[in-house]
Amino acid sequence: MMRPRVLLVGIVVAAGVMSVVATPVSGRRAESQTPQAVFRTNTDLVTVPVFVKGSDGRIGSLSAQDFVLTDNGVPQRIEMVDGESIPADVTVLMETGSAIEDYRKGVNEQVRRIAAMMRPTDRIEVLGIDDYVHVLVPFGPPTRSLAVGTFTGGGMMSVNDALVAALLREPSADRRHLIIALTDTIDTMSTATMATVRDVARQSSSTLVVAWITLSEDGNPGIGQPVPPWATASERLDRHIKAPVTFGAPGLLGHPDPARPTARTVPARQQWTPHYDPPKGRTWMAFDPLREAAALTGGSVHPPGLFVDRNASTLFDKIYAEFRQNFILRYLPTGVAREGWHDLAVTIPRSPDAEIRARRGYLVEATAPSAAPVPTAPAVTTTDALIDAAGSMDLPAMRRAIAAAETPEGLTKLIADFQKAGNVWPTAPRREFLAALLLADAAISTSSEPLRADGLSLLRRYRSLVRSPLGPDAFDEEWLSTASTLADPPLSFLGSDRRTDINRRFTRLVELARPAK
Amino acid sequence: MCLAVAKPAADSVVVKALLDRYAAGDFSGVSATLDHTKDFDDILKQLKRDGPKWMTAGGPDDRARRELAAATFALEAARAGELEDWKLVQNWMTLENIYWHAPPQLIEWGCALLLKTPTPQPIERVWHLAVLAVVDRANDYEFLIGSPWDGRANPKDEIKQLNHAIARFPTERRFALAQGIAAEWRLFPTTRTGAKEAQQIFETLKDDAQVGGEAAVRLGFMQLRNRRFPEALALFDAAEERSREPFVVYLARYFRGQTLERQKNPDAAERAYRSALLVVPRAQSASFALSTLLAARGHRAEAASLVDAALAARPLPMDPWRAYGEADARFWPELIEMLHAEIRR
Repeated sequence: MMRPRVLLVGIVVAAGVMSVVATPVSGRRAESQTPQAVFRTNTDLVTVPVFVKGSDGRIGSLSAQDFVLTDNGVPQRIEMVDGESIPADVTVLMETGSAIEDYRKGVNEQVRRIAAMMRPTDRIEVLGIDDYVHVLVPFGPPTRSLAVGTFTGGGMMSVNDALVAALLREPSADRRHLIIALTDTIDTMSTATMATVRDVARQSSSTLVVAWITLSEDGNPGIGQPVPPWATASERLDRHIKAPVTFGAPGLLGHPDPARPTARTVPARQQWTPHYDPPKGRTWMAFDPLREAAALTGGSVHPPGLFVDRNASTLFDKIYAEFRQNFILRYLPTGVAREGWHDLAVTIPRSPDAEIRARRGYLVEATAPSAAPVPTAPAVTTTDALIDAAGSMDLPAMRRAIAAAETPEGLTKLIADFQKAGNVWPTAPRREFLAALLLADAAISTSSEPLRADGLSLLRRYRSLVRSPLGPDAFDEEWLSTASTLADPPLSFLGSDRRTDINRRFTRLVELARPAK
Repeated sequence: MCLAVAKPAADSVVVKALLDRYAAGDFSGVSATLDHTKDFDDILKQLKRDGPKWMTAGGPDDRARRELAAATFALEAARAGELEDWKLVQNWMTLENIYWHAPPQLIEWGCALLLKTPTPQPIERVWHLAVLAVVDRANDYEFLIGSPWDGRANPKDEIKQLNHAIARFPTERRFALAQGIAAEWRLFPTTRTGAKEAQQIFETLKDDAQVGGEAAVRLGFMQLRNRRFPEALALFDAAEERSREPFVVYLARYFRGQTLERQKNPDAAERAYRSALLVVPRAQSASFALSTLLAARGHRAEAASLVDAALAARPLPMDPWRAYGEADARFWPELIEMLHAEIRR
């Protein structure tokens, strides 16, 4: 099939209220603080993890007095918290399409190793990425069994949606949240674009760290080696383009010989990545959009490197150690409006050349409700009784609701309102079809010519809607047959038999419209 | 010392025995066996070798049923092989030779059986619709309508399977729609070359009583991608006017939301996404789209709860956007049940 076969590869890390941070290269902490709870930005206390690296890779001891933190340009009085004391929630995001089914063992081993590095007070969950985003293992202690057994999705990848979902979910108030995504960032299915990921990252309480890794224990193949089955579509394409053309392999008269394929014999589908809109100038080694998203949260990107062990657990070890050893600054905002977006800036005046990574801001939600609530059903007044009755498939109640219209004018209005209401039951449209037929029956049964015309018009309108995609089924045929009976001028000698027949048909339609048990 | 390595037993199936079981109604058992089969070349080889004799073994009265059983068995085998690469293109000198792997050839083999009947029977239409369900799911659109690169490839090697179905059922609009979908998707996401062909097909079909709703929504999506927003919105309205199929209605509402977002109308987009979620509650595409919209407007708590709800749904609801390219694959359960019912007779 044309779906890209993707196994890999990348890591995304996010951290809760705070943003993340990697450890100072020197690894030395300035102060040992008493363990403190972490508060979220919807309370008044703001916590900001900070990564610092000196120009020579070392930074030395730092205390709260060394930092200057401004909130919307206003300097704040800060204190420092010991990052080691705060438990972490870790979300592992990884691709789990059926194309990597053969790597189930390697994937599970990587997850097991990651869990083994965590502290008992931490929690871990595993999200799978394929056509959909799945919760494969819900949050829980890292000490439990973490077997990932679902590798059933298609070859499409909802990478952006998974990142957005991870970034949008709110971490627990007293924990930090770390998200690890294993992906090559080639998205083929998402609702969200990479720009959306960036926008969500900007406001997220999480920190993003991206890295290219492999779930396979084999490591990345060297140049000139055969492409392994777990290679990404982009890797395969890249190798295909660079591969030398070989001759002599085709069979008789140049026709393909599958037993002796040439280097250029590739499935056309491997060049096909629907929805994938690569940023300009991107190579298969570039992560520009994610780099920006990560930077906005105070995180970073780990691009692929040569001669480096890129497996998930090894990389996690490094990132997690940094995550636990961040400088964590805390302050009570003063001199700024509480609600809305807060721009943050962190500097170290005595070390102007130091590399500092911290989230760029945070949001305190407005208390106003969403601007555009939508009612669960259209606001229709005169047809309410009919809609309620049809919703419960109560035939006598539907008839009573129609009879309540009483006058020809009332029935005309009821028909008009019903049509205006439109698709009231989008998950069960047969209720609408049944109600339309009952209304048409009532209208056609009157002596009012305009009303009879309304009834016939209603039948014509719904005749094309009452049709299953593959052709009429039992309900459709019964509906169409009943409509035909209603539209025919009644023969006087049939009398009550005709009415009995129509009533029997309605009863049958109700049975057919009910979902199968 | 040289040790011979035996082929794993799981890969070896006796097709004749499977056909017996299939014709006797053990559909799920045979399907499960096919799911664990990797050697589709062997299945094709056995079908070609043993199939004709098996189909005549029941006598003239049972022949048509056995042919349908064999053709449907071949289709199920092709579906089991959806993860195989169906088509290889071999560059040699200036030619691009095409080689088709076993799954598409299995379908061709089954199709040839049904085409032998002079007058197409209604069940043959169902079989061809089931082919669409299999091929769309495998995303091998070139198998249906050929390569977009005919000018420099080898047209003689193309199969264009849909031509068989259309020749037999020229008035079936789903086959016409399938041509458009294949043309739309074989070059996705480009909106140029192949898209024009798809656009023409959808334009022709958008007022059709049977497939007009889906044609309108697909045409609207192409307009959206071409940034022709008013035209797109009009088509999404038309789609819901012409269809009540939840798949079509959801897409019309979801795409409407996307269009309105690009028109910088977040209030209307939010309403559109919410109305899409009335059609398929907790569908991920509208849930995530609505969540990001809400988050951007400062409503992070609701955004987070929407994401949580979408992720917590068990089982995950079928998301029409996720299934957009797979198109007719959504009909597979219904179609295969109809074929099975006919084989049981």
